[in-house]
Amino acid sequence: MDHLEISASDQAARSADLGDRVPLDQIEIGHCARVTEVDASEADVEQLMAMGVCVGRRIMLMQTGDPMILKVLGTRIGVSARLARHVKVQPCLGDMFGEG
Amino acid sequence: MPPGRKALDADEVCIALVGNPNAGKTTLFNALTGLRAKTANFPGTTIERRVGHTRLAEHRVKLLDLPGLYSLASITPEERLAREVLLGQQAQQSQPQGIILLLDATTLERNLYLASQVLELGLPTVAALNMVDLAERSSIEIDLEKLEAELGCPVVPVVARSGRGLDILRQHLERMIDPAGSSLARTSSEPFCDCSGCPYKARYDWAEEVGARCINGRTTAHGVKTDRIDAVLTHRWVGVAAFLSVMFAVFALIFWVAQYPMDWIDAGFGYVGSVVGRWVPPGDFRSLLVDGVIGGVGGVLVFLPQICILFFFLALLEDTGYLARAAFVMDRLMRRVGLPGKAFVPILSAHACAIPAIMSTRVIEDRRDRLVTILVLPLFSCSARIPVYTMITALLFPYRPVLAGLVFTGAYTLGIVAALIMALVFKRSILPGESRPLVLELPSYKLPSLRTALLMTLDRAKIFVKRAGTIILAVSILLWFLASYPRSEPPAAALALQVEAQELVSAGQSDSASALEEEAAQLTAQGRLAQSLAGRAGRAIEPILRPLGFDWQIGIGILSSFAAREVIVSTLAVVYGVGESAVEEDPTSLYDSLRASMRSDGTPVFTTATSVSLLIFYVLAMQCLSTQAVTRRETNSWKWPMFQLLYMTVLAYTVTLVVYQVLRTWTPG
Repeated sequence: MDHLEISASDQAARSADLGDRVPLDQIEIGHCARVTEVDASEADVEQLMAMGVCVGRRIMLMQTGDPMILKVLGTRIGVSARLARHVKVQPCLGDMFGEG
Repeated sequence: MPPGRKALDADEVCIALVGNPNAGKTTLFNALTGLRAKTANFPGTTIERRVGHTRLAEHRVKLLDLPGLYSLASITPEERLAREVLLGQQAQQSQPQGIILLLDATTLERNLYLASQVLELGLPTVAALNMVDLAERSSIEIDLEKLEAELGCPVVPVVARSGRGLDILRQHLERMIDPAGSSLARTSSEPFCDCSGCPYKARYDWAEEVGARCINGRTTAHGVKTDRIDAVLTHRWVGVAAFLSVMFAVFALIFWVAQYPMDWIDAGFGYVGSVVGRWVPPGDFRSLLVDGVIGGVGGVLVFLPQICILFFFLALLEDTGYLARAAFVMDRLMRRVGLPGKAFVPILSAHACAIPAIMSTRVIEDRRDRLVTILVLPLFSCSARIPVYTMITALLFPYRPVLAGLVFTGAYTLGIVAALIMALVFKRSILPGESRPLVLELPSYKLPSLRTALLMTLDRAKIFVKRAGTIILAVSILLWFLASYPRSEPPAAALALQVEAQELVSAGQSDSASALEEEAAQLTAQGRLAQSLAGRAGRAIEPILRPLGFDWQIGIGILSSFAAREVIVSTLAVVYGVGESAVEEDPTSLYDSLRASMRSDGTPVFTTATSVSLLIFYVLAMQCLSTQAVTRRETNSWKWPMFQLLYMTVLAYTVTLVVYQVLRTWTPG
């Protein structure tokens, strides 16, 4: 459990990203973002990470609200806003598809 | 288990089926094992354990279906259990000799996360790449040879739904368990990635790299169609309206379609009862068989069609992917009272019967959420209450269907409101905390598999019938005993009538004689019930029931309906002297005679106030030993069923008391 506080030190991931790190629920619908930080202090956040919402992955916000809908690795996930607040992202160029 | 059987089981090769939820695991399991799969719980848990057999060319293999998992990281109880089983640490479950690793071709990268953890266990593994047809349609091209090289195990493309590729999968399984051919399966337990940092990041980095090397074209299905449907079905308000419409349609179907088979089952048990009645000489044994066993078990089994239809539609809805959306939409609303969105499936089921509803709370992972849901489920009006509601509406508003309909709606609404309020009370008191925050995959929509739905229905039906044959049977016999013993002599009035009947027979008037005999039989049954343990108990609790407007006869009805709520209808028929046969032939005769029944002081028993208070009592009271038994099984302790009985009885008593006392003052007798 002690390795889960990740600072955004992944240079490869960072080079393609634009803008500042923002909480997950503040990105625009349909835009792509890269996860830079996940605070796993709440146990349920780990379930989110196991489904792919972890540092380095690109995600897309499909629907806002509480719960919201994310798309990660081609899967839609319904996530309560309380958990989404633990995830910080950086908006990035391009959509999720087509670039492998 | 006999010793010989155990030895055979130990010799059998066991293969575990592991995969993500929604990857088609159930469909593959059913396709490989067919109809003879057995569902039970892993010992000491409420996690379902499905075991079936599949025939290979030379071996017969036991297939163990593990719960759907996203990882083996021991976050949820399912993950911990799967990990223990795969490592051979689970008591009473030997370590599987091999693994079928199910991968969804349309979301391969995400599936590779679990794959890396499973392969590192070092057990012989064959990967089944499912839904390759859907992947092809979405222009996802997976290079199988490269994937095999990356994973170090054979990869077999399959379509579990149509059976495509299953023969090849079987051949690979044969080779896997055959010692000579086991080199094909990965046996080393080298880690796939350096997991010293964030384990999630490292594994997903690896998964994306493998994806990049093995997948040409798109990596995942775009799912434009699913996005479009979701825009409607997960919409804040339209989604709720859609959910309510679906729920209403399922309900309407349950009650409309089920009434025919229910009538057949009822008639069937009636027929069996009359046949037994003809062949077995009159006496205690016949009464035990006809009233206790056949009547008791039949009274519960009559709900089997409703349960089958409910689970059939739930399985269909789940398979299409809609149930996840329904949970998503409901989560927003139900979280406010401390219930998770997933509780709506059990709530839907509870309107048919609380027993399958409590069984289906297994979809809720969190213990607090599950307990709250189980505790409030019996408050929703189950179909066993329908005969009681029918009787009371007939007492209140004979021949006025609109008002009767309102009473019915009111009873259902009262149940729902009470359940939501109690959930909120539990959240603020004994089970504090928020409901578990939602993390729920919304899988792509697809056409449901009829076969999967039918197998699921069969599975649930088996569990229900087994329950009726064991615990419900035992309860029925117990209550029959309480209502029949100690035996008492027929009352003097009945004896006098019999003597009179004898005289009429000798005078040649057999018609009048049989009428008198029937009257005598009724008096005898009435007297017998009054003198029985149940009758004495009814008298004993009368002082407590009096403030609710109930007399000791209703007390017997309430006590006897612990077997099944609708039993009160037949019990009242006996205690108020209508005769059980009369109820079946012409129910209005019961209602008329109940309306006409008087207390010893000459006032009618079923005043408006008493009828309403009886209705409210039946909406709120926990009167079902079978439900209690299921609660005990699902919570693994007697504490919770006892608490459920206590709080519901207190709730029912208090509300009924207030309503009766208010109504008595305001309504004419």
